[in-house]
Amino acid sequence: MEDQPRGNVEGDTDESLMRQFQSGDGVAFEILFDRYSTHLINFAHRFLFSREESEDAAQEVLLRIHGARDRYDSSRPFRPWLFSIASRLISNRLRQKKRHPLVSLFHSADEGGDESIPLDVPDRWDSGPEQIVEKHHLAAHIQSVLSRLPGNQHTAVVLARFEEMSNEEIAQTMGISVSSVKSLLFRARQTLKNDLKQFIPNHPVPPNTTATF
Amino acid sequence: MNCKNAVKALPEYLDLTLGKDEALGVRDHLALCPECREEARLFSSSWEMLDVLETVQPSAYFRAHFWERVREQETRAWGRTGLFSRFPLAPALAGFFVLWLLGVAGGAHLFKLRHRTVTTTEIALNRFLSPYPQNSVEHIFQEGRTPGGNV
Repeated sequence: MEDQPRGNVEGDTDESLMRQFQSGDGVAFEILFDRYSTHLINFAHRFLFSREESEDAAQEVLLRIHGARDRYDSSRPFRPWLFSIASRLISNRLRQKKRHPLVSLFHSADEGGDESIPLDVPDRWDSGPEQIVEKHHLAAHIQSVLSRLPGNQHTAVVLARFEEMSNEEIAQTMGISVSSVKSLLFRARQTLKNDLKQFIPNHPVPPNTTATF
Repeated sequence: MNCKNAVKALPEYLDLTLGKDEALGVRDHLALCPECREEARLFSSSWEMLDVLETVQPSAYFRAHFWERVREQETRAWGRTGLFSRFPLAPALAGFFVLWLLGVAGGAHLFKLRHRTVTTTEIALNRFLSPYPQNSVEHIFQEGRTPGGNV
């Protein structure tokens, strides 16, 4: 059977791709899959800090999208819908994890804590061993700071910082008002600032450089 | 603008999402206030620092595994929507219905046999084929009448 001509689906918006998928076009879903797999894995990774679990969670989100295609209202933006599903699913997993924590057989009891979680910090060839260790240490610290944030602050930070969402998009994703998003982000950023202060080199800024922030 | 308001507006100021007038107010305040400047530096640096968390790429089997799960889900969904899964009593009800149908059909057949009416053609044929003489006891018995009675 010959392939049917398909138009410029790759340049289409997410919403239009979802509409095409709703009317039975599997290729439209494949494009959405390619667009969002990495985003979803990384979104999950900022909460679960495990590659396998993050891939599993991302697959589950995509499965839900695939299965719930008829429930999507294409007049509403796709990205907030997608990430609202993802954040609900991940918060359920985190709740389950807290209720039934898994203890690795490969770590001794005194090793516990967030530092025992393997990190995905790149070992670049131009980085010396000291920088790599420092980076691992910093990544572990950031990971622990992020996981100590209240759930909604954590979600707001990840959506704003890594998904580069606007406050409006975050509000749609989390189902809260824009002013609540601003307040969540402010509190989260204050916590981050206070907890990461020790890693920031102490170089006071001269008055004439303020505009460059 | 005072320090409290300036610090509150700092994240949006740093993200360049603050309104023009407010941004100018923060900028002017930062030019005059070293404490708030330091706060801005810390806000900005700590936010940038999150880049240390590396981006994870999907593994080689991610796509294949996903489609495998889609197939599993579809198979499960078919099982859930199947007749016997939706109506667990369906097999028992179907069996009962078949037995009832057999009973009704058998009963109707027996009723028909018992209340069978003999047609005049059959009587005439019996008389013609009967080896017994007319109105003999054997003949009457064969026709199913009582001696002396009518057909």
